[in-house]
Amino acid sequence: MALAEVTNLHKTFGNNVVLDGIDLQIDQGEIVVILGPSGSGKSTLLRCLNYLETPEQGTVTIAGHSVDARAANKKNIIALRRQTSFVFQNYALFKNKSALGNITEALTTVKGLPATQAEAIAMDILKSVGLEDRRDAWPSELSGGQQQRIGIGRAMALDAELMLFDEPTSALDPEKVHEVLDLMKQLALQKRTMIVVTHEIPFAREVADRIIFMDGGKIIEQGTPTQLLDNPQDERTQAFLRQVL
Amino acid sequence: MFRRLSAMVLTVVMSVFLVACGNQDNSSANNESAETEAVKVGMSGSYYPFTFVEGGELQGFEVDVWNELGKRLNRPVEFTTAPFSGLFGMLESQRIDTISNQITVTDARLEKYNFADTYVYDGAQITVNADNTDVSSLEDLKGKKVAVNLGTNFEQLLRDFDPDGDIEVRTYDTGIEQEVALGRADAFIMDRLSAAELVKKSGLPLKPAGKPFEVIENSMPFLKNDTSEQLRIQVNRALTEMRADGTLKTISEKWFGTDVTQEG
Amino acid sequence: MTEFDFPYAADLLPQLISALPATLGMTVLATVLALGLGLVMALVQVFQVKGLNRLTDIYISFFRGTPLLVQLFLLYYGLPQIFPSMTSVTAFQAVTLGLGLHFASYMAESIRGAIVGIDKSQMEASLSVGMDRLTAMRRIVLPQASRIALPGLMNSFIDLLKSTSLAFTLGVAEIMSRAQLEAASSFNFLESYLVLALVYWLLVIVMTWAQKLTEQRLGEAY
Ligand SMILES: Nc1ncnc2c1ncn2[C@@H]1O[C@H](COP(=O)(O)OP(=O)(O)OP(=O)(O)O)[C@@H](O)[C@H]1O
Ligand SMILES: [Mg+2]
Repeated sequence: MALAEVTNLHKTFGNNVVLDGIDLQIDQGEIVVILGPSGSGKSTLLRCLNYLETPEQGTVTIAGHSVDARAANKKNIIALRRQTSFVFQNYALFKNKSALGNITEALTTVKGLPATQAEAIAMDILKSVGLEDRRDAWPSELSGGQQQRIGIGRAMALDAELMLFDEPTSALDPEKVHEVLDLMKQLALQKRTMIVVTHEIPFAREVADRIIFMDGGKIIEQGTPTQLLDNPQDERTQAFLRQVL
Repeated sequence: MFRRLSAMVLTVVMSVFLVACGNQDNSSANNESAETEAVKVGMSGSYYPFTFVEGGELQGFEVDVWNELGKRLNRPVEFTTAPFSGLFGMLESQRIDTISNQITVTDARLEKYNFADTYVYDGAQITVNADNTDVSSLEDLKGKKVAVNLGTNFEQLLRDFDPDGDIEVRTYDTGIEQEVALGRADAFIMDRLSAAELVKKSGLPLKPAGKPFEVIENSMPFLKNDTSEQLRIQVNRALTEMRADGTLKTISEKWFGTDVTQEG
Repeated sequence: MTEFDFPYAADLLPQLISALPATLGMTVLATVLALGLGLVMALVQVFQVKGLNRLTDIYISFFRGTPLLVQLFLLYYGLPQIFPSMTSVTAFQAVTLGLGLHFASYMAESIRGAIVGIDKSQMEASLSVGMDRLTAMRRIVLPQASRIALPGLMNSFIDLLKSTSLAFTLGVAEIMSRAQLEAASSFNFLESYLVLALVYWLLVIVMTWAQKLTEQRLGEAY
């Protein structure tokens, strides 16, 4: 059975139809990359998966927690959301928390771990993102690449079933992009289930099990990296790839 | 969300209120009998020499009278000072039992309150700046600025005398003598007794203008309800005693050098 | 012109100081009430809590739209005429409550403005790690908003402190009433009100200094 399942998801902003009936299944351990032109609804799809945006219609199920848009309530939304973690394009670190505090915060307030245990976990994570020497730094004292590594660390600490990445490298200076991509490759090796919205085609080719191409709020085409990148069927996919490659 | 927020509001409001209440020991009368509970007497504390504060101590004719009344009623007396204009509000809301501040007995007031027996006979007095030479009667006040204390019967008296509004009446909570001394008002009207004392004590360039007019009977108002009526009767009894044994006269002479508690 | 009466002024000061507990008591209690209620109302507005939201709109509009003195008189003289039990509310309590209710409306606005000024991504990030909205507010948004709200809140604190002087109209024995009564019997108006003004000024200077310290402490972080 799939780890995550999305059926017939619809989302509009005003009369702008942004998601127009998305159906999607993600397997345990699968790494899915979403490509698509700007405004095609990639971010909105990710944000509907954890209900940062509320869709009008459709069902989202993750690890057995299911929310139907028409029966969504605070309780089942939070239960669903806790199956996910999210990495933001602009990092969105807690500005009033240190690097360490950003990682321990949810461990203590959401998972209820004692502070010492949360700190031990956070220190391990800081090591694996290569920032243990910056544990007490405020976000404002970190470079973009460092901030995003903390952002990923914060998501890792949750140990959620499904990790969602919304263009994690597109706000970074080009020379910092690889620090973050390298870290994500490590996560891929650990067989974490991830959905990644990105424009980094080489990364997608190397890491993704499946690539989805979206346009106009619909999934146009999907397949393995080779299928989708080297042999796209739909002409919208072909046009998009001509531009980015 | 709604429930938690409402709970938060309630907790905040209640806790602050409880703290505030805890701060005030004597706020509510528990089962003490009416006899040992303090009589709450309101006064302005700024009406020399009837009620005034000097060196932090509330004193004056009214205070002496009430200390004596308290003894005879066998009840402690609790004085509340507030601006004169607020005293009747306090009486209405039963925060005080009576007002002891040379309240003149008038028809309008008698409709709402029962008064104790008159304990001071007085007259209304115009007081002007020492430089003033053209005021010697109420008539002369037309076209002039006249200061009175807000909410007093002197204000009413002026308006009754001057239905056309030729006199510019200005009302104050305190400090009318200062207004006249500074020349911001041409005259003030007050009862004869305190006006004379005020002129003497302040050393301000003030003088009485003309003779006092109107006999004024002053006393203490009580609400028209059973407990207040009971208190009023007890006060009357004690006042009669004090008059008979000369206590009232002694207090009067202490502050005025004459007996102001007798008619005429 | 009379001479400035220094001995009188020197005698008055300890008397004002003896009345300071009432002034400070009202200030502190009313501030706690105003801050608590203001915070709750700000949250109601930010979260758009149904029903309550509209109510706080009206509340804020009323308490900002009518004079404080009128509110105090309503509370102290007016309400007991409908609710006789309110007679047992002392002047001290009425003023504390009135100041608290009044300044809650201003503080609600300061706090709401500060919360709205915090980037939306802070709330979203908090939600994304599984917090509920109230926890996110408490742990992430409000600590950041407090920095922004501080100057506005400080204005309200100072205003509140000075507004305790209105309590003298209800007969609370605080520093204003003490000065006023002494002035009335001594005729030393200049001395009395000058000493009084200095006492208020000193209190506000101390508060401002405390604000600077707090700002520094908040500012040192992140
Ligand atoms: N909160 C919002 N309110 C109104 N419209 C929105 C909102 N968020 C997104 N949209 C609109 O929805 C559409 C899809 O936006 P979305 O951010 O999902 O696109 P995207 O595929 O992530 O694009 P990009 O590659 O530029 O990030 C766009 O037209 C955008 O303007
Ligand atoms: Mg996007």
